[in-house]
Amino acid sequence: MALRGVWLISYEQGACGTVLFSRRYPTVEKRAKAFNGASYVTVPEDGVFLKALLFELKLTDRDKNFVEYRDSCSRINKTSVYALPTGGDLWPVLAFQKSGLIYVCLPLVEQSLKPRPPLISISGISQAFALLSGLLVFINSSQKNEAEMSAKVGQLPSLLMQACPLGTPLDTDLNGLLDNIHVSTNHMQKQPVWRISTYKGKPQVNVCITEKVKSMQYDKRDVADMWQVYGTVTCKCDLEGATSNVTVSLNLPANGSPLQDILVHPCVTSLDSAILTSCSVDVMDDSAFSGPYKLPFTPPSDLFNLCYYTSQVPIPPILGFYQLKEEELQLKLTVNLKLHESVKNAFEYCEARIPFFNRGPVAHLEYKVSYGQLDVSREKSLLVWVIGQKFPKSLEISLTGTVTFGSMSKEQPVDPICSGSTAYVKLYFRIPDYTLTGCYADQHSVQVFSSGKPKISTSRELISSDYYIWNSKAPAPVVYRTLFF
Amino acid sequence: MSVRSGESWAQLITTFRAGPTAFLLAHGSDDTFLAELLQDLSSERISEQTKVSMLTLLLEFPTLLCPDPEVGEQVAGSLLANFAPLPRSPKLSWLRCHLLVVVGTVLISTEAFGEGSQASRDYLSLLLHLASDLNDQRQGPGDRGVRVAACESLRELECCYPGLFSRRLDSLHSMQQQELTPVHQGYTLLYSLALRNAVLLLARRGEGALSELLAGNEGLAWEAVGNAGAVSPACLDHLLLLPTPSETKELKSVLSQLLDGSYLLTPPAQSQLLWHLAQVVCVIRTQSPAIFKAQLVRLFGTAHVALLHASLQLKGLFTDSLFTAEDEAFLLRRLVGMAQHPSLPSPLKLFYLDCLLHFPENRPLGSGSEEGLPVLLTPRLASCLFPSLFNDPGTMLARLNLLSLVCLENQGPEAERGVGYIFEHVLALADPVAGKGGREATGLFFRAAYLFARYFGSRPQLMGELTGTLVRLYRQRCSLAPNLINLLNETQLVLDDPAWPTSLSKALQELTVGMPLLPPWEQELGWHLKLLARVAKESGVPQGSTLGFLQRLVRLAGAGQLGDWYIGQALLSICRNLLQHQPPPAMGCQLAELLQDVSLNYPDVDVQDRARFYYTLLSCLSGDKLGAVLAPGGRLKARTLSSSIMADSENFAATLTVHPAPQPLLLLQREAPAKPTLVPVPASQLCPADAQEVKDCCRRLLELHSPARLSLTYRLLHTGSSPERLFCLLLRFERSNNFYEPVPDVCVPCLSATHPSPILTLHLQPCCPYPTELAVSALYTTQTGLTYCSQLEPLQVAFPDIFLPLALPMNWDCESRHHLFDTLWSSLCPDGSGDCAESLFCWPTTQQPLGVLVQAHFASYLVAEELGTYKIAIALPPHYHVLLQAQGTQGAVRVTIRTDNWKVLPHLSAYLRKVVE
Repeated sequence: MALRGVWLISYEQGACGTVLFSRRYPTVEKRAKAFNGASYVTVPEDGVFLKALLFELKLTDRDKNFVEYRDSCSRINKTSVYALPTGGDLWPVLAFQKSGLIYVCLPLVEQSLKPRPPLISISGISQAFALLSGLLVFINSSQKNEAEMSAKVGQLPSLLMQACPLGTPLDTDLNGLLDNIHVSTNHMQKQPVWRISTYKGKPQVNVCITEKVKSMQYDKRDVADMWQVYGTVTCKCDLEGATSNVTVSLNLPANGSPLQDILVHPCVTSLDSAILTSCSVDVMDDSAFSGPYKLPFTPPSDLFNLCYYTSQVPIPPILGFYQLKEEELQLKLTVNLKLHESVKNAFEYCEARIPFFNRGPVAHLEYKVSYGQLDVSREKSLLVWVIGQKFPKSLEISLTGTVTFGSMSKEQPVDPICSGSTAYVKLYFRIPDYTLTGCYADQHSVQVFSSGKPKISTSRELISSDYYIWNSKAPAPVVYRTLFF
Repeated sequence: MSVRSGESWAQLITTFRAGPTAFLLAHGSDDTFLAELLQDLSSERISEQTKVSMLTLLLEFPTLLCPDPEVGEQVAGSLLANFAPLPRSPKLSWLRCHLLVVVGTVLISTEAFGEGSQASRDYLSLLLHLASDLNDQRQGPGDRGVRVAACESLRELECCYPGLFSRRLDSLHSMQQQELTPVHQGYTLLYSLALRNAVLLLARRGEGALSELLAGNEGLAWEAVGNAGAVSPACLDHLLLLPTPSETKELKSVLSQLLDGSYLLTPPAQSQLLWHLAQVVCVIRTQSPAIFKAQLVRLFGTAHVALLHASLQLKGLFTDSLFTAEDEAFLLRRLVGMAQHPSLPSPLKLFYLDCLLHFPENRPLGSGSEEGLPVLLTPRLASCLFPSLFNDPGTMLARLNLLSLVCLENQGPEAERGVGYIFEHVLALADPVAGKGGREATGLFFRAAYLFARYFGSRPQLMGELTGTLVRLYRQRCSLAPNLINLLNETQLVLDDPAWPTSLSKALQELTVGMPLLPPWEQELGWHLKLLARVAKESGVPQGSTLGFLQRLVRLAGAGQLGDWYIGQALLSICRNLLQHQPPPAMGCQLAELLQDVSLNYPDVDVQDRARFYYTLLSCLSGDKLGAVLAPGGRLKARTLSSSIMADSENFAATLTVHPAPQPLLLLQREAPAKPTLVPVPASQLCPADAQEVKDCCRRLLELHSPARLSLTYRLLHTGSSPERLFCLLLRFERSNNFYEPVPDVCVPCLSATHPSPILTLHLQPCCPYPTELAVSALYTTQTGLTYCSQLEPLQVAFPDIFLPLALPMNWDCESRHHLFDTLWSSLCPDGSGDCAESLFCWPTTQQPLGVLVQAHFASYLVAEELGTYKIAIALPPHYHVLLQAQGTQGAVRVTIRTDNWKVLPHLSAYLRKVVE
């Protein structure tokens, strides 16, 4: 259960990569030699490693049309685990790419590598996942410019020395290690390892439920519309004392949608199995457990995600259709949106964006909206229909118009999916103090076992995420398939 | 040496990290850099922060900086000496943590760790002392970081040398129980690992009682240093222990106490603890795995990958003795849910998908190492994993693979509908390829098509549609030719019935030959010809239309409308494939006509020549011979290399490429060194030498002259099972350090079983008289004309290999030789300034008399012998000397040593030790 090395690499398209940080573990390497036997492949120096990694991630020879080693159809990576050609095949190298950075880790395999054992049997693989995820969160939390970025990279040697001094990960929450102050207290019982620093000040607990809703609407008879809700409950507990316990109960109203696929933070000390029984892969069932979902935990000192869930709600919050027809040289479009009556009609913002791909700039636009206002973006490739804070009383709004385009130019956006009349409207909205499932937490549902009476604040919100309404007059990509009708 | 500044160190460290080997080479390979590093680490003028970053070099590259255990031991000793005086202030705690971790790393990785090493003993007692400060009672919380590092270092020692603490389990356990601060994690991990190792070793030994093990409170088990790699999860199946009920009870209380506190640890530490304890329970058959039951709900609900993985591993280890059928179904549903959970990052979801394909079932049907679907994964359950166009390519292909397997292994309308949807999805991926989709979109579509063909290649209707789509794509984008060729090649490899690749070839041929021949030629025609060349390899596809197409081309060429060299070569490569793969009677006549046309009318002379050559082959050789001549890797192939350059660029590349050898074929076996044939000079001819002569001779022997070189002989052996002949064998030698001049390559024209194996003499030119290792690689050509590169076992140049006898005058009498030796002896007297040194070595009483020992090992170097004292002189190239006087005294043998290079002393004493062993 150990790692042979960790790397952080910056890579920009067209340029060669740079190793920003690397750390190797010679004692683990020695064990690797013993365990892997004849199949052992040594970890090369950074330069060679980088080259082999970019090669394997198919980031080399970008100017060439087809290169067999890279483009052969039988080379399929079904996981983020790679074998790097560095003399022998260095395996299993775990690599994530995110915003110009590649996060890489090589776990120890405690057996021969020939034949390659399945990933599930390699104890170190999940440790590698955990450490890289921690690294990813650390690098991406509140990092804006290059100076901050390099400051973060500069902190890595010391953080890794705490998180994984000899190759065996001890902790993977790097942010939590930053303010590692040891405090002298008289301990009567064992403390959780993650609750290290103590807070001095007015005790307070903050619980926030954020739900996101995804939707794909086609307005077609043979294709089912899809919508999906998923939520995250974040917590920040500023409490004195090292052993305070908190219980958060998530409640559902009588007509609420049960929470499914619940994943909880490791600081949750115990779970009722009823909470876990509901699963999105099952067919909906009225007898499903509907709360309250009790989550007792010892809070870490930082902001953390207490749990994630999904849910199946009976209706999408906004139902719409989009019709777009190409007539001679112009496009005729109609958009219709209807807010469901059960949804709270109080948005922070709500707008519909209508992009045009693979065409020239919008040259001429004639339109009529029943509500809100329509703007053309500066790049002339997008219409923005600003709906504002409220739908009108009828809860239904529409837009009709015709658009003509200038000649195609390089600056105009291209999209491989939206060719011909395949097109979509994408909705962006946020409704504060509302969840689609009905899930809520209030003053009474947060219990704190600690000295002093803490201030408890709770909030909730619904945010759109990938909310598409496809043109029903043209083929559209189908994302949801059910084998049962 | 003066102390460097912090900045200069920062720069050095950066350069070092960028290329450690190159850095050390540039810095001179001997230990100056290391010495400088150690010196500055103890300097007070260097800041703690700089010292910490200097330590990282030793932390990450210990074996480069400390090439052998002796150096490792010295470095560890020196670092420990740095640690001792550091005050326990919180400011310095970071440096102290680093020192602890670095010392352990150096001792372990240079293999210096052991009972005989002073530094190891000091290090261990320091760690145990630091760890004994429970609950910060002695040093306060400011020193907690150091305690964490100490625990972790102890854990790493136990991990590298399983069983090291196996006799102290009780004291480790009591520390684990007493510690209440967050450092308890370190004690828990240390104890659980030591417990696991001790139990596994006990089971392996097969003797000893568990209760004694648990109550152990003794010293360290130093013999564990030899256990490296002995305890591996892979050997769990063969181990078992059946302790008494009271012992089981005792163990159970230990396990429950550890498990009850497990939730207090970080997730990665929890997963380690669970895995260690699971292995203990797996071996101790009297302990029921149900002890883990209380943890399961928490593990099932976790969002943390390490904990979920731990529960899957528990499942794999204990199957239905811990997981009921209901648990299994639940875990599988959870896993499916997580493989598509919108809140998880996609690499993690891919991992869970992979776990589904290797799901540890209670009643597994497959072998486990191959991909296989769990029986419970029905189409209904898997339907939520349908790929969508919005997935990233990796996710899409992984889901496509899984869903295809699900639909393949299940029957009924659901599975059928599933196949239809998958197919629709694959076709949808084609649209962006035809349009402006870049390389990624193209790659994705062809991979999806490959997967589909692999699983559903036997469904003619769907495959027919896929063919149609591919043909349409080619019509729109001819540059897809390499992708199509690749798809044909790969599907042909995986499909049992190659009907589909053949029918795709036919369809593509039909399309291509029907293309109008209009300018611009170059690009599109090039692709068409490439594709047709691939189609020409299909014996199941009639090639008449291809020939017709080529004839049209040749006519155009004759009319001067096209005809550059490139097109000509592409055209001929089709002819070549036709010659090779299509039986001549079918098309011999038509092809001959075409080749003649080309040889007469094509505007390029080179093309004409080759066409003529093919024509000759076609008209003179029978079909069988023709096939053999043109077959890739055929014997004649190597000879016709120049003419096949353009015929088939892949094969040409294959002949030019150096391939890694599939298995090592060669071995260099050391030949016993030839005994110098000393013709003893008859006593009558011996004469005394005067003092001046002795002096001159001594000077001559010691002065710098052209450095001597070593010659080592080896026999080159073929170890392959069926020795084939190898040609142009080139042996390359690579030095592992700079102690020797580069070794020139050795060439062997031919190696064959029928000839005696050749004897090679390597001439080594030492720069320093140290033993070394040479990496050897061989480059050779086989009978098939392919060139291979193979790695041989490295050659060891041992210390005695570099011994050379001194060139002594042959005809001196005994006394003069004594005299000479004594003169040499006094000239190597250490004067404190030079490199001369004197040392003493004792052989314990040995079985053999001293005389026999000397005759066996030093006969060639013996200068004189007198009254049981043997005077031995050895020359060490390039120009060093070692003098030995061996004398038996009171049962032991005393060897006095003088040398003009003190650095050889460690090697010499190692050798002397070995001589008597």
